[in-house]
Amino acid sequence: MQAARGGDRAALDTLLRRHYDRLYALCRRMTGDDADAADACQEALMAIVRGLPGFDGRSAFGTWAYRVATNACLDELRRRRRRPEPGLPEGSAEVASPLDAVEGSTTRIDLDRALQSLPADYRAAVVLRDVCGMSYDEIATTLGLPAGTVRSRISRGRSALVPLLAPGRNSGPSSDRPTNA
Amino acid sequence: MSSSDHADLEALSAYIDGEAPEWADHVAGCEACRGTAAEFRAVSAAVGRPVEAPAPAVREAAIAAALDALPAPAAGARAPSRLAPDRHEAERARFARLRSPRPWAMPAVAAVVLAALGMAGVILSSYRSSDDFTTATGPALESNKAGGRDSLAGAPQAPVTDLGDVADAATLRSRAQVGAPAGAAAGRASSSASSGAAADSSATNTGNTGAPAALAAPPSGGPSVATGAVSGGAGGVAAGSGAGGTGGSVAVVGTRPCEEQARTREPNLGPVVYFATARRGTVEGYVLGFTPVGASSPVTLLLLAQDGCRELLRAAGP
Repeated sequence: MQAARGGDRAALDTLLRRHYDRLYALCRRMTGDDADAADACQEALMAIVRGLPGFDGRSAFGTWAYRVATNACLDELRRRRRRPEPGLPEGSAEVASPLDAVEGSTTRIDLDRALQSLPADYRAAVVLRDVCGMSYDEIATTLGLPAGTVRSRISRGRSALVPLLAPGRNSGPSSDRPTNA
Repeated sequence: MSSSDHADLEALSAYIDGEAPEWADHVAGCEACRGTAAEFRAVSAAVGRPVEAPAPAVREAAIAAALDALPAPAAGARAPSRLAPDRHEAERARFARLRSPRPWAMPAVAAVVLAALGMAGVILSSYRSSDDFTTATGPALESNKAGGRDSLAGAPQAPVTDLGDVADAATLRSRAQVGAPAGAAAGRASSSASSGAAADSSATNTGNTGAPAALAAPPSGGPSVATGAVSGGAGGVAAGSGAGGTGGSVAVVGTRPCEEQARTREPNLGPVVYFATARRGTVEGYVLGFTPVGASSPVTLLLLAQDGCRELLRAAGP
């Protein structure tokens, strides 16, 4: 890490390769699109290289890198809003149960579509938790939010995803089910 | 908590993440909460499923581009360095002072802001009243309303140089020829630019041969460098390092395509002193050369994708 911070090209290369897959996974889930994920991930890597000399080490490198990547994704999504949407392929509206998803039968597009329906801020919290495995405190640091807000966003994000991924399930609160606080 | 006091959704979501263990007993004995927790777990597992890895070429290109973003040794001296603790305190105190209100300064600040707005308005109106957006010192840019993105409209007296296909930072640096005599730079650029894939941006290439290199202004002497016009209606920005674009100075008026995006990413970029078009592979781009205000550091050359302005290459100029 010290060598990478000092601008050692080989050390940087190693560092970037070590983290690329996780950063790409974050970008892929955030953007819902292969090309946008590649662009965002590349932007994130470049920002990491440029920002590394100023990285103060107060947080783990991974946490800092995720923050950089999350910001790159949000930038990419803002750019995308200015581009015409190509639309989803025919038949992509079909959705399946999250329980099926665990078994691998949910198509990629279903999950992408469901995630993209969330506000980007909520999606970021959910993705940082479920893709990156970060704790609520780490997510709070990464997104610059209070931990309570992170907890709320993850819960609301998941609550919105349940009916999208499992039609008929938990489609609305009822007296015998848990509800939002 | 009784078994009828369901955990709320926030608590259940936190519970499945191990962030609310106090609900374990209740969930174990409550079918409804167990069901909701199972749904949350399923959603979490679906979102957390491994993503399909990108093609190796995508990965390699991203890493190569990132390593190209590594500042060159000379440029590295300009990279922000960590402040020593005492310096850090001093800087923090300075910013605290700047943040603190100064009642006597408010009228002065307001006057400066109004003057700047007025000047920007004059610049804007002068551009908008002109059909060709041509400035006295550089080629024109105009928003391509049909295409929805900025494009270059050829100005007869100063066409924009196209550097052709630029594969790496070294090629970018050698072709840009920042500060070289204008005619020489144009000649090299036009001879190196291939006409194939760049044909669709013919407006940027026409008149290249024998014409003065667009905006390749020597830092001293020669004509001023001016970026063309207002991009995207964001308003012209008058931000020159020189005094009004007189000979020998560098005047920057308005913004080049992708200039705003570059400055957003790196606020410390100085004035634009070089502008051209180029491409990397099949990706068409703009080449912008920035130089730090009042510094002798080399020009930072950025090749930015025309679509989206992402950075394709970076090089320290000569």
